[in-house]
Amino acid sequence: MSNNGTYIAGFSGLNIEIGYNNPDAKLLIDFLLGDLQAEPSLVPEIRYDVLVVGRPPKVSLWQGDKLLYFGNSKYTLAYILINEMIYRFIVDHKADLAIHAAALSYSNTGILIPGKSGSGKSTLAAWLTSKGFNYLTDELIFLSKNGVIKPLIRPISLHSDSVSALDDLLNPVKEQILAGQSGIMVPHLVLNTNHVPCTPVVSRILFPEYKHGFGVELTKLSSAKSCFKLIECHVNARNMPDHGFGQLAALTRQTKSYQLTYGGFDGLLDRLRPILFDDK
Amino acid sequence: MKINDSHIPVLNSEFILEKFDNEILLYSVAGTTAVYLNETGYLVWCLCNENRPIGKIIALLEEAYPEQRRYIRDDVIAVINSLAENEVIVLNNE
Repeated sequence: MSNNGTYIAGFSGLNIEIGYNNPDAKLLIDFLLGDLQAEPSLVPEIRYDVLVVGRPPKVSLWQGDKLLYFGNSKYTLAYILINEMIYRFIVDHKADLAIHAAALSYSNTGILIPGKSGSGKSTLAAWLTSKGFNYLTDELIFLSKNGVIKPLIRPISLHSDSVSALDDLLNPVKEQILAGQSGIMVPHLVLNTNHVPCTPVVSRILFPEYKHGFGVELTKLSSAKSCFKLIECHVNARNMPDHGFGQLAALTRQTKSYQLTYGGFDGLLDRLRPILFDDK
Repeated sequence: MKINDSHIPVLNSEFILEKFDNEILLYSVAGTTAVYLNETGYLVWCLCNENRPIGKIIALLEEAYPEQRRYIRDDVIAVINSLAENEVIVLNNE
């Protein structure tokens, strides 16, 4: 029986094929892409190959003849592969706004957490997931014209400098974490086993800012300020007729938005609960 | 560029406007630039729409808001500077 094969992952109208050479490579792909369900009617447009060879194992990532990574780190390979795929999903996508954001849901309430890298959105998403929120993504959503969140579900990716903030949460599950020098990837199911894939409508927008040693500060944002900040996180603007400006403005007019500055989690849930669960 | 009262701000027509109550956002598709203006900024931006020199804009606002007179010049210059830096306006000589 052959150990090699292909895996097809899909997201919002694009399928990507990933070849693998043995069960170790397949495990890595399952870990990374297990939530990205292929669309059966679509032919994959791009192919990558993941190879694991030797003892101790070396891993490599290929796109055709082009070597994208070769080395010891499964984490680095996974990081490069998911970012390559995200780029492919976004680059020609014209149907929805692509927003650099984490997203969660709770009782059909869609919570958008937009932010640039390092803003603390993945850390916040991980912590809230462990408190019972339904994890959707820590990186990218497509947002339809009627405000529906289509999340790119992947393991939660944390930079190494933010891992210590979640030590209590991560230590008990460290066997299931993929770790590298620059960060870790955490399967969302180890933080909350009650995951339900869903596409809720955006109900709240939280712009996070992580400041080490800071308490918790929550500030309501005007629609204009929310739109201004959301524009910074809109990553496929060039695909839209007016760069999606009108759609972002409409969203922020009808959605309550907040700036959340936090340096830890003491009291955080008590501060968030009233604004997440008040009258929509 | 040193701004003076005789400069005439001219709006850059590439910017799209979205009004939110008393605030606005301006967005340039060509420049992929967004500019946020609060109520004061919005007022100044509106007054830049009719080829008035900056001195006239200041005078109009001082007349309309006499109790704010001592702040108005600095506020207007700050807004004009910000609009010019973001290429929302160009400054022509009278």
